[in-house]
Amino acid sequence: MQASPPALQNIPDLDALRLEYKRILQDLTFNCKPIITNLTILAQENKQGATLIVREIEQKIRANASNQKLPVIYLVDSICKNVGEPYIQLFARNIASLFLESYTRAEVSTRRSFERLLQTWKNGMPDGRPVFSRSVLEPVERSVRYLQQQSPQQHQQPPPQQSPNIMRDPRQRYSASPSQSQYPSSGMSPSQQQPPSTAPQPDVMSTLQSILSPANGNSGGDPTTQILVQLQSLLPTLPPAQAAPIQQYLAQILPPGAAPSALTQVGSPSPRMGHAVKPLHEKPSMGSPVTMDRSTPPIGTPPPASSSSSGSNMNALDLMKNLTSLGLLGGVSSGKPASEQKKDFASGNMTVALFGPFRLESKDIQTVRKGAVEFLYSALPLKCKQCGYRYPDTEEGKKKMDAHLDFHFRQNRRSKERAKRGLSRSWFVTESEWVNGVDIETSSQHPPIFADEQAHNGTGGGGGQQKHKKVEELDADSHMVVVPADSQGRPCPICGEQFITIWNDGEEEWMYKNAVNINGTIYHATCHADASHNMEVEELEADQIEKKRKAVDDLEQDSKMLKTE
Amino acid sequence: MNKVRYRNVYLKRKLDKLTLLCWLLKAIVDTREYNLEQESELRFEVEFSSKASVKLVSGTAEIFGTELATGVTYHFFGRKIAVFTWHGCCLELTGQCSVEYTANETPMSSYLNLHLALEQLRENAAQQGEQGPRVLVLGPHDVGKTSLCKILLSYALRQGRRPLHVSLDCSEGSITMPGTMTATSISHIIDVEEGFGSTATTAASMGSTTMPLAYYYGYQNPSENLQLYKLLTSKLAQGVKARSAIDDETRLGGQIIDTTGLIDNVGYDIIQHAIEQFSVNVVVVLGHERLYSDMTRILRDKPEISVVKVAKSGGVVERDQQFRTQLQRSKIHEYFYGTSKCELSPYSTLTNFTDVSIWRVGESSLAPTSALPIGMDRQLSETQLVKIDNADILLHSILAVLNADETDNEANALESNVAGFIYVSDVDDAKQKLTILSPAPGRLLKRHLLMGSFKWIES
Repeated sequence: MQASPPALQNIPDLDALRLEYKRILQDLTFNCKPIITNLTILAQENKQGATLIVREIEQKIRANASNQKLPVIYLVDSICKNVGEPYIQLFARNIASLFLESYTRAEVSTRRSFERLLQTWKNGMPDGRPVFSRSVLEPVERSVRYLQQQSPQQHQQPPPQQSPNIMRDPRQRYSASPSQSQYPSSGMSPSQQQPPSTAPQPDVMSTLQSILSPANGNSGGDPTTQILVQLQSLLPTLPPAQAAPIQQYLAQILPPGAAPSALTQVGSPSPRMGHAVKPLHEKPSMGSPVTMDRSTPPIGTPPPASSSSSGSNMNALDLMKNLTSLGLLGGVSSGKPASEQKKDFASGNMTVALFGPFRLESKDIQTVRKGAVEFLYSALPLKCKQCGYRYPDTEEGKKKMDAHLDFHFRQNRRSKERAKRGLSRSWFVTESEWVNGVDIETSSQHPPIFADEQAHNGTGGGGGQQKHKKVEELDADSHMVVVPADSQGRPCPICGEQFITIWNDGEEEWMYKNAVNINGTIYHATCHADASHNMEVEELEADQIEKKRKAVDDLEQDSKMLKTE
Repeated sequence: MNKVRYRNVYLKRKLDKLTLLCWLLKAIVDTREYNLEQESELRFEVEFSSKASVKLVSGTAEIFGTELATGVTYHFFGRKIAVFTWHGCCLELTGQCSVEYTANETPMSSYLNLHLALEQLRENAAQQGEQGPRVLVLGPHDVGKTSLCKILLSYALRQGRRPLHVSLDCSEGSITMPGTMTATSISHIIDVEEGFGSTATTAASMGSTTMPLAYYYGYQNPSENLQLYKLLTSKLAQGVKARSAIDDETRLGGQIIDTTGLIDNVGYDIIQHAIEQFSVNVVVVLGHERLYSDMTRILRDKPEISVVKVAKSGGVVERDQQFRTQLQRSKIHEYFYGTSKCELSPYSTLTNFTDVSIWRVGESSLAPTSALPIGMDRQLSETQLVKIDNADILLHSILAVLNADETDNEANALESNVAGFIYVSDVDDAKQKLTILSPAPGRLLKRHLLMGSFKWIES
């Protein structure tokens, strides 16, 4: 196999870039340093196409045969360590599942290379920082540890333990010896490469699809349903703590009619899995031990004797993948919504009844319902960075979040302005005002003002914010004023700070940097723009608020008049 | 010359940066990092005289139900705080704490269940167009009643509800002055630094401002004037019901009612009174077996009322009288001067004693029953206003400004809610003038002032 000619030039056309990248990537079926270097440089030169490149690489990892995944993961490693952002961020989204997927399918001997690589991610950046954040790596490490405990057993007597489907071609065992697969060692000889088709790993998804399609045409075509069903089949292998919420969630998602039939079909792997994995769960690394006597019985139906189509390795892998994406695995990293399921979770169609019924009895209150807290977390994925308040990821939630951020913005600005004048506590409203909800006006939930601003500015929500940004972006260098002869270091009247004086070669004059001359007075250009903008917005806003709350204002006016009488 | 000036500015900036760096270094040295496991909490206590701050580095964390933003520093003084995490988190604690430790046994999962049970009631109420749950939180002193209320309110808020917080605890003044009974609509995230958040200021939406419906009782203990306490409870309940009738969101959100820690005969009396007045349908007993069994017995023939007991947190600490007094003082100070985050400027003005009518309630505390004229009913005097003629006793008093019109008679005045508070800092007996500290500029808005038992000396 030939390393492709270097394509180091910046490729302007994104589509062309994608194709070119894909083409070179095709050759990366073995650990070849030149190709990896080449692709890394190409990635560096074309950061604008980072998303596309990352997608191509991820697809490649998924598509490659199990023994050809490692080189591509080495490429990920190389790009992250040498190029850094934005790639790290983009890869971080899926690296956990990709790594685990490749790891679980790899030979035991190749796994060591994976493990070494994972170790370097903890502090592999040139300055000793971790490549991926702890929240990304931790679940991976945990899963790897868990699978490690499984592997010695398999190593001793591989053929009888594995189902025919995941039994590897014996030649592969030698093709991936540790010394050869070490990165960045030189490439392997062509004879050792296996074409991707010799030992195909049956994709669980497609297996499921094939099982589902004849039995249940409706749900078979829907990928979401498949993931759910797949998850369902894996449930019994989970610690009950994690299983219960997923199960209840599934119970809600699956249409009542379709669910049982679909589950009967796929229920087969679950009992098998339960037996195979059970002893391993008892080891502390995985968390709580499996207890089958949880409050809700498993939905998976009694075990048909048929042999499962997917081995335990793969089940564990997909389980990890799904759980990670659900945010249930890897405690610290929760709150990073990604998968489709999560969107459903977040779209506000969850009701308390899912975990209920809750009875107001002292005993029932003590019952631990794991995962129920996600009502307050995962179900509300939009989190305000300033105060931590959350909104659901729905149209309405987004609108509310916009209004909320708008409120923060106005509040911050106002508090700065009023702080100069001095604040004081306001008098409380009268009883009738309180009963009529006047107090709400003084708290937060203003109707979103930007609805009106939109009309004024022709821009989207938070028009004020955009304007403000404009002020910040104002190019300080383009505003210069010749230092007046009589200036004895007079400061800017707005901020009271001295101007910065520089020598302008072109004009052959001393100039004030970032300054404007307005009617003979010199201001900082930024100060002046800011101040005039503030006045503008203040007027605008005052105008709107007046319009908006006319009724309320009248009320307040009345009460003020009453009070001053 | 210009160059010299430029260099000076440059040096000054550099110095500023160095100072900042030193300060930062000091803070870093002082910083402790805590890695909390799932469902554990960090508890710490900060004296009134010292300061501590907490920052969430990663993961999720909440303080009494309010989630913390990542990377934002929260400051505390004179507080006992528990930072709880459901998913595990990493925290940075800076500053002086008299106590700090982590604990992994908390009753939070039962509090969450309680909330979800209430949420279930709200969902049902929404379907049937009924009222949300009215929850009375009971328990002796220092079991974490107010904290539980905060958690329940905060969780309800996070699910998009707008519950009412009713405080019948007149000793603490969680919303405003001590001696006050309040009802407040919780429509904005509860400020973790300020407890419930201060009441509204002139900067209309400053932080989590609240606007309470407040009635001034004026004493620490309900037993000091039981009659008045019950009267004001009823007034508060009326207001709450009127609002619930008008506003759908308020009706659905229901009420979380905080109570005093009184569990003697007087306590049972006011509990039953509150249950009636607010049509309570959920009674939560916190950390007290006997109270729970008594409540089940008392409410046996009212099946529509659920009685639940929940365990108290191991983190609650008994607060001695000294701490309470300090808390009251800091609350009064905060009313006028605000917090360090939001400083307020009160106004000192001179007022003619004759321009205002200052009242106090009853004379019962002064005259024993035997000394009353024959045939005079003592009960009456407990809710009767007595005008104060002697300006002397007003010195250092906190007076409630009543929202009653000048034409209103005494009985109406007592039943009016509070517009705010003033503090009498000086009395000139000869000239009949009062120096008062008022929260807002201008003349006093109302004439009727009510005096309670709270005194304060501005330090």
